[in-house]
Parts: sequence; C-alpha cells; structure tokens
Amino acid sequence: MGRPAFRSHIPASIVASGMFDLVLVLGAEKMYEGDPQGTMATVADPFFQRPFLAGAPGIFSLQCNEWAHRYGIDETRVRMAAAELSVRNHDAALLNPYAHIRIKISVDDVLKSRVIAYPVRLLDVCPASDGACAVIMASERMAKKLGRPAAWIKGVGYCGEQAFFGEGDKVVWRSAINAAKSAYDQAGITNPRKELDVAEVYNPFTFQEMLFYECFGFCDFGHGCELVEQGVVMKGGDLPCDPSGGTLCTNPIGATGLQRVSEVVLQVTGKAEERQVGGAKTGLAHAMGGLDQFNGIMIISRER
Amino acid sequence: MAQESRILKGYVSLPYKWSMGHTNTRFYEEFKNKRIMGTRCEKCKRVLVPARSFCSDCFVETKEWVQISDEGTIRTWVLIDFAYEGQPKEPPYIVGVIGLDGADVGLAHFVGGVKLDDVETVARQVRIGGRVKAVWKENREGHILDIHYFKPMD
Repeated sequence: MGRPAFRSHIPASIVASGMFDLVLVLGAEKMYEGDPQGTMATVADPFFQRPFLAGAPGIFSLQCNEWAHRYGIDETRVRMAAAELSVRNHDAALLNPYAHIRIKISVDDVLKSRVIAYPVRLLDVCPASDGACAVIMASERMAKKLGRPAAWIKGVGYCGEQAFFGEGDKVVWRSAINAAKSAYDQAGITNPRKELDVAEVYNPFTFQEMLFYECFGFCDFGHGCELVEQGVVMKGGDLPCDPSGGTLCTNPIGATGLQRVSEVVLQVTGKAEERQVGGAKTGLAHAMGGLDQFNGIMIISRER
Repeated sequence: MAQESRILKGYVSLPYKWSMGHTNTRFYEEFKNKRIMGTRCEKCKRVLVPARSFCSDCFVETKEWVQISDEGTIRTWVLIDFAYEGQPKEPPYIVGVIGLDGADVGLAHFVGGVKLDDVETVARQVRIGGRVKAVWKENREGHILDIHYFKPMD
C-alpha cells in the first residue's frame, strides 16, 4: 500500500541522478479479483493491532473524529463540508473519461447514504477499482531531443512514520507535513495556497481531504472546512483540488498515487480537456498509504 | 453476440506463523497476569506501549520496563457498522485509541460494555476524553484479546 507513492518518487530520482535518461513508470491494479478489505485487514501487525485496525474505513474515521474533536469543529459543519466535497469529486469524475464512479449525486444523497464507520458514509468512501496509469520520466536532455511538451518535477517529498497507529499524532500529521515541506523547499514554494494553481490530494475519504489541506499549509490547522465553505478548493476557486474526481471516485490502489501525478501533468500542460483548470501552471500531486503512515508529495510545473 | 464472461468464485486460505521476538513474548507473559507493560526511552523519556525494544523517534534501545495502568482516556473512537472481509467480529462494534495512564502513546483496542442500538446511543456513552478501564478475560493466554474491551467508567 505504500508503493503507489514510491512509484513516482524513485524513478524521479533515478532520472535526476543521471543513471537513466528515459524511464517508463507504470502502476496497475485489478482489485476486482481479490477482496480489497481482505487485504486491508492484514495491513496492521498481527501481534497488537490487526483485530482493531482491520479495514480502511475504521482507521480513517478514527483520524477524522480526532481531528474534528481537537478543533471543536461542529459535527453538522464537518458533515456538510464533507458532503460538498463528495459532490465536487463526483461532478469532476463525470468530466473525466478515466474515472470509475461517474454518477450525478446531491449533498442530500451523501448525507443520507448509509453509515459505514461513523461518521463516514457510503458516498464519503472510495470504490475498489481496476485501473492502470503510465508516466514517462525523462532527463532534460532527452526531453529536448524528443521535442515534446513536458512538465517539470520541481520538488519531491516523502515521509514515513511509526507503524503503531496510536503512536503518532494523526491530526497534526508529521509524515504529511514533512513530505509537503520538503517538496515545497525544493520547489521554492513559501505560500502554497497562492503559488499552487491546482492540487490532486489523495482523498479516499472526504473527511481526510480537509485534514490534508491543513497539513499541506493550504490553511491553518482546524480551518480545513472553511476552504470548502468559501469555495477555495472547489471548481473555479483559488486552489481547485482533485479536478480528476480524485481517489474518491477511482481507486485502483497500485495506480492511484501515479494517477495524481499524471492528472497534474495533464493540468499544467493544458491537456486535461473538459476538466482543465484554466491557466494552471504549477500543481501538487499527493499519495498516502500504509497504516495511515506514509505520505508523498510531488510539485509539478509547466515552467522549468 | 458474445455472452458476458462468467465469474468463478473461490477462496484462498493462507496460514501463517510469526515469531514474536523477546520483547513481545515478555509483554504477553506479563499480560497473562493482567499487567500491561511499556518501555521507557532513556533519551526522550517517552513511555511506549506495547513495550518495544527500541524508540521509534530516537532509534535507541529501550531497556527500562514500566507497568502501565489498565485505565485510561479515549483519544478517539469509531463505530464500525458494516460487514466486510477480515473483520475480528460481527458488526456493530467500537474501536478506540486509548491513552493509558502512565503511557505517552495510544493503544488501539475495542471499547465495549455499552449499548450499540444506534450512533446517538453510543455517543452518549463513549466520548473522546472519557475514562475507560480494561475488562480482562477470565482465562488469559498471552494475547491482545486477553482484554475483552475497555469499558467506559462514567
């Protein structure tokens, strides 16, 4: 599960080091054949945590409940912002020919969908998808030789933390904060909210997307809901997030992280067709995995 | 016109054995006697539970064993109300992260002994910051489920 994030980071360093000029990066997953929850049930160690952390929805609900409680965010408010995010992602997926779940839904549909792991409801949760993604990474020399429009990797950050779920703080979340910080430092970004034009936040659960806004510095801690309420992260906002429909609408796990990268590349090179964010130059691609313990960030730009 | 492909369903069983190592073995020997043990990092002074052989922040060996209370505070909780593959028991059930008294990190376990009729009923009995105490099994084998669950005290 940590691999989708690695998949784009390691090839990037192989090319940057000069070892190879041209690397094909491929992510693929056929989740139909297995039972994803059966796999998720074995992510945690068998000695202490497995019975309690079996399955993804429970883990992320624990995290979301702690987040809302820490900042005293009213439950109704969190639910409403999450529902609006679900609608935004599903609307975006309708414009993305590669998306899995392509349905028109309303805020009311989300609020009334059945509870999976309170407060997470069915329409707050990603599907299990079959899918694949490929990205070609090239050195500057090779990109010039090929003469095709390319996007530039400006910064790469990756951070892992303890496998014991209760050990780290999952609200002021160290691996997410550090991954973003190191990518921003390399890319020279000091004000992500202003300097980023688009972000593909890894969002298998609506609630978690807001927690990531805070860890990535899009807003202060405890203020994630406001970005939704004020439209900042919505379509047409200052920092539109997940124009692809995100992980929420398409999740072939082994390809999902790379799909965040490919979407940002399409966006900053103006090739995202119907879902194009107007004038997008610089974007953030994010992946998360493990037992809520790995985060990877890539800053990608049209400009060198 | 081609018929839609038929689906063959099967089930793969994958038995495993895991060596627990010295630290986990000692932890669970103490568990049989209703003692929850942690280890203290001599560098950052954090008390880690379950006991570990090293501190994950400082990367130094942890040698000092300390007993932790079987009472603590709920750091976060979730009501699981959906059946899926690999679950430890029939839903609905509650999972919590418990901050045990005397430890600096949380422990994931069941929260139980409460009425599970609906979310509102659960939320009246289980809350973040609420106090809980371990309910131990009569016959203990040295396993994390020697504790049935943590029961709210108030």
